[in-house]
Amino acid sequence: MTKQLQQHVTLKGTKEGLQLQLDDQCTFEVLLKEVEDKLSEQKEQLTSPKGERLQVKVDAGYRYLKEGQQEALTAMLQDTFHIDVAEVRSNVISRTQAEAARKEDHVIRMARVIRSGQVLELEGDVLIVGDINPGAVVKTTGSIFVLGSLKGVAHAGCNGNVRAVICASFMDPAQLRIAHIVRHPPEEEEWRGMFESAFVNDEGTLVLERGQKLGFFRPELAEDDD
Amino acid sequence: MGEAIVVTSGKGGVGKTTTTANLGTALALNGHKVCLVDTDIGLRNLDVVMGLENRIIYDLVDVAEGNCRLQQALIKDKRFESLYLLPAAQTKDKDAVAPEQIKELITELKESFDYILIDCPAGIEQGYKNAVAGADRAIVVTTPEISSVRDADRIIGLLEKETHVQTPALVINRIRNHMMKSGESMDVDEIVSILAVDLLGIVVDDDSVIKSSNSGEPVALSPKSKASIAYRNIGRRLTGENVPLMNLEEDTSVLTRVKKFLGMRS
Repeated sequence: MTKQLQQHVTLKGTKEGLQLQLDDQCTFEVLLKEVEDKLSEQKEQLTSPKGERLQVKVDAGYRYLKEGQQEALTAMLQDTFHIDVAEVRSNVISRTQAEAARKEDHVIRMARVIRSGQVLELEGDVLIVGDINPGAVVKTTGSIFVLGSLKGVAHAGCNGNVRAVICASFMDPAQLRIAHIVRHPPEEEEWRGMFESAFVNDEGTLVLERGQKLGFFRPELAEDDD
Repeated sequence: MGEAIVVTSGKGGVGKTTTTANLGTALALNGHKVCLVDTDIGLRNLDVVMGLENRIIYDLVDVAEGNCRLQQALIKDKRFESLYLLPAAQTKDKDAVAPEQIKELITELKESFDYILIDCPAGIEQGYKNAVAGADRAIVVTTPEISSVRDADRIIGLLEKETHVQTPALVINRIRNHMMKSGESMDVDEIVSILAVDLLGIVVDDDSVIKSSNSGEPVALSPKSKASIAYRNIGRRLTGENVPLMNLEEDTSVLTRVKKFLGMRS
């Protein structure tokens, strides 16, 4: 049979579990058909006696799976074979995704004083070399780092990223916000005016800590960027 | 070709007009040709502080609308040959002139004067835009109060967007030394560190300033008070001279020491 010669779909057992490798040269329709054929052949083996659902990782190679396509594949695996898709991996991403990833990773540097009445709305992490004066607002989807004094309003992770932080070498803010959480300053501030970092703790409240401790609470920031 | 300097503050009542009048006087004392321009249309004061109110025939709006020539509207000062005033209109409002008209007018004035001091109205609306339109430099006046420093910060932010205006310089007005020392009001260093601009001068709060502006004689004319010396120093710094900042400490004559001993404030 010619069909057997050219395999577009391989099912492999790896250390991380079952992996479905898809060829990236054929059309998506051929691929979908072959997945169905292949899994039907092995349906016996794929059903667990205990009735547990299998999990599979899909590797699409250099194929970009459009939204509808990915859903069609997932739906077929789930409905026909009762297999859950743990992850869909692809070597390619769309331009929009790449742009977003670049923005996410990029640190915006700014050497200036943000003055009263000025509102900065940005995307990604921001490094401000200068002050954020009282009456100024800095808002970004990422984290805010201030080499200078923060006396205005800082809003980090404004798209809902609660892992974002706000860090300033002189912290005396009018108000701090991370994602949707607003900091309620206590009556008596403890470290007011020192190098401090603000983040959301496990209880979901916005707290201030010594700046040096940031790496402990946000280990992802302690590591090297690569 | 002269230089046009706008005196602004954002907040009202911090001493823009007083500063304009006294700086003008100080510059004229040093022999410079100076023209003061009042852009506070509808609420003009500069002519009163200069004691020139009764000489007004035409005003800035008349010039802008072409009712008279610029030379006709200029009022020569009583005391100096080289000091002139272009008064604002009292009956119109701030929309009576456009920034382009002021710019044109200032450009014309720059040909015959060394310095043109523009007195800016309070606020950040039309009047402010008019005043800033023709300026090359800016002086921001503030007092050691949080609200006035906040407004000064706002104004500096707006001035940074005006590409034709150099980085503004700061005048801190109405300083009460005893309050600064006791920490009841913001001190000079604190204000300068927040605003992050060059300090042009500091002026102490002095009764003689109010007294002299009520009598239409700018305080800078008589060298007796500290405020007068302060304005003269600012004038000299404006022309590029290097003058050290005034010592705010009270002089320790026998009399003041006795007063201090008795618990009286000198």
